[in-house]
Amino acid sequence: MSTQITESFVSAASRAEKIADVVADITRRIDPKTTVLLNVFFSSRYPAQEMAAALQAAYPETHVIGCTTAGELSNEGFTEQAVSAFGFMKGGVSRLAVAVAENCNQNAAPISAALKKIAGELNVDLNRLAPDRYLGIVLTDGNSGHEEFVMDTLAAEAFNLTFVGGSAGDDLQFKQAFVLADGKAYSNSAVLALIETARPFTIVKTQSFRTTGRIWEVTKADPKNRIVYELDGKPAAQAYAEALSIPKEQIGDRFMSNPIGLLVGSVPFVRSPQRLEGDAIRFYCQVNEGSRVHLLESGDMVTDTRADLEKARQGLGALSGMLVFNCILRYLDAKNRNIVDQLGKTYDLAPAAGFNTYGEQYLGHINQTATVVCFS
Amino acid sequence: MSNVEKLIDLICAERQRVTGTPPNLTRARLSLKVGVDLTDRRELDRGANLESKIRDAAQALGITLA
Repeated sequence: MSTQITESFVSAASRAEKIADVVADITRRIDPKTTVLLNVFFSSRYPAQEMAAALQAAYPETHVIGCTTAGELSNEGFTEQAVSAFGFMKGGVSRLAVAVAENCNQNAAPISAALKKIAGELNVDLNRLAPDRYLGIVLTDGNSGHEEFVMDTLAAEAFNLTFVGGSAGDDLQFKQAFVLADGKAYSNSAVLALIETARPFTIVKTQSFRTTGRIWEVTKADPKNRIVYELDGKPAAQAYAEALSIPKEQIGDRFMSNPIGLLVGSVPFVRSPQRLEGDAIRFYCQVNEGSRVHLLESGDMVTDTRADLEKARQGLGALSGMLVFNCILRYLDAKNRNIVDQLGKTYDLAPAAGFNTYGEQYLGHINQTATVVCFS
Repeated sequence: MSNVEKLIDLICAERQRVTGTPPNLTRARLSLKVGVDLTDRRELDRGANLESKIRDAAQALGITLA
């Protein structure tokens, strides 16, 4: 009598130059015959449409979703200019549906239509699903600035579901990013997948920041353009510089280690400053007027990430897969601190793959965070 | 209990009644939308026009109050 081991989740990576070789690398690890959903994250150096078509041809019976990146992550560690893939195999998924919300910048109709398509395919009422059995994945164009709108719309129309994901990157070019679904690549769009999982899962939101105790009220802001003009009635740059006791000209050097954050309970939801604009500060996500924001300071990213993932493993009993959405700013910070390899190794607990994002999606749009779907 | 606290409880209860969403999840989403930690009672006393902001956030998140 033989024992058959059924894998629920499988990860793969490729550094191949040609798309045909990338596809060969992935299919060697992730069997097209037993893959239900394939997530592929690839550098923007690969032509997105060709990648989408080639992957779908190799996985004709599989939903293939993914996006372009600002770096990738797999069990081989972090990579740049490469490809990572995460396969949901038959043992990991009961059923799923995928839909694309095209041109969804400030336009709820495509998102609503995508959700309707998903609900129709699965024959479910999205607001009556058990959130511990259904997982939403959302991949958005990270250059569109539409993430908050997408997340608000998802929350309004599928409030009970948790959508987690990341914003597609383009290797820090900030020109054009793509999401892909079922053989086609799209810009200014979002890909949604709703999965009835066959394995218990938990979502880890890990960031390595604590509050300094300095709290401001955002007194003037332009959320749509992600600009904060005033904190406690002072020009934002001046208030930020004063809090850190540094000249205004130097504040850009501190953006990565001292972002701001909203606290819910004791948990920070990070809003990362992008750049100085006169006396204002532009962020990588929206900061609303009237918000009470904390000045944060960074901690030990490797230790904190390992602890959060270990806690998830203990909660689930065991880990069989991890789908990772890691902020590009965390990766750049890790590079500066020369801890990229150590950070990559924290994901060695199970088959893992993901990418460096232009922002993470979890209960909204956040920065400098890794959101990780951990499966038992 | 303040009017703001009553309003938050009402929103969370309504969402739980309609979709079964746990109140803490609704409270977290509202907190992020409003930009104030609605789990912290001290913060509830600080924010100006918090009641109207919470109503606006609830509406943006698709929560209809009677």
